[in-house]
Amino acid sequence: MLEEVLDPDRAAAAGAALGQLACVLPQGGLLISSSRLVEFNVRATILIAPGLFRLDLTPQEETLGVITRPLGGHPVRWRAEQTTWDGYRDADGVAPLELHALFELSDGPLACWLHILSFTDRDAAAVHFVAKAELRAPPP
Amino acid sequence: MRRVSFRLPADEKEELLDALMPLLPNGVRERTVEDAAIELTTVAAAPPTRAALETAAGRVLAAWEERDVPADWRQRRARFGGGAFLVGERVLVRSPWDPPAAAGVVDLVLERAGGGFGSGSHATTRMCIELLLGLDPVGGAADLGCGLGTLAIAAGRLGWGPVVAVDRMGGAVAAARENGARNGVEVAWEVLDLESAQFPLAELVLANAPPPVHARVADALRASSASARTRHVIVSGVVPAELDVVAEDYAVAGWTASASLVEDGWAAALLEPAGA
Repeated sequence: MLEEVLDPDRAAAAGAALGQLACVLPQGGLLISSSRLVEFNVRATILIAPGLFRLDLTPQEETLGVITRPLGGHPVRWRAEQTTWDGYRDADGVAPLELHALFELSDGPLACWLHILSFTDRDAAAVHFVAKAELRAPPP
Repeated sequence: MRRVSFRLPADEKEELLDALMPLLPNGVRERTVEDAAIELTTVAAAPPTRAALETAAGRVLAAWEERDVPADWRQRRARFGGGAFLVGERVLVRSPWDPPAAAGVVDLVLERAGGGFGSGSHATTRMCIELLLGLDPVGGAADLGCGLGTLAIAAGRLGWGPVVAVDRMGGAVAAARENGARNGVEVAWEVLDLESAQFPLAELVLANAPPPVHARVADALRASSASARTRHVIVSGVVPAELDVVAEDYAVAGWTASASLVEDGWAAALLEPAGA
């Protein structure tokens, strides 16, 4: 199962229509990255980690809807990095939102670090997102 | 640009989106059209074909419509909406680009500028208005931390007066002033830092602000208890755990919650004098 969910070809194919890129991380694991311009009040998929989760974001003028939709039956725990909660609303610059997950797969645990940057273009009534997910075995 | 819309059963929406979202890079707007149906709309220069989406979904997509629409979002908003928020079926908070409210609904038109808060997209703004709708106007209103002026303008439109509104952000107050004029509501706008300066109170106090501001409002209410003209305080800008703490500050000042709301992880409460 681990080999399957860490396969970059599978991840790139799953997110092909989104222009999603995937590659192996230098120390093992999978890096998925993508960017998207999303109009206010539209729910758009930003990243797909096949067999694990899909990240959907719904930008609004003053808040951001975040959905990490499970794509497998694996037990998972998500937590937001609290210091980054206001990243979307930070008027002083581009600040990240970060989430962490731990998936319990049949052949071992898998950690996910999700990093989302956003920049609001009010004239376009839209938000630019740049997101990446790093999937790797958790540290012992 | 092409606009495509179709309907899904509400109880199957997420499972069907698992199949459809990877094919819709521009995303979807969701709208509840009936109790059991959700309308999804996507806009793209070259959206996927109906056949491609129905194959992915494994079913016929009901109420399919496809039409040419302008690329400019303002023109699309004017035709289809998408940036307005209806509160309690009685107040519509919208941008100048959205279609006007239906007859009988209070139409609040707010342009967001100056970094101000209050477009209606945030749950705290909507909950404050919902609590406001439950009150009969009995005098003036003070909007503390007014942002774009949404709550002050709503109070004015619902019969409260005179209305005063303050915020520490000069750009927000400038935008609020324009919004007040846009909505034909007279408000005394003022730039003022609620964490350090004296601020006005009124029969109705609206405080959609972070916890430190509530501590100061509670102190001001306690100090003014002898004159005691404030009858209602609507509190938000806090998550439920913070509301518990904030409510203790107000309780010390003699105020207790008579109603509370929670939405999207945020909380709001209507406070009345204890024993009222």
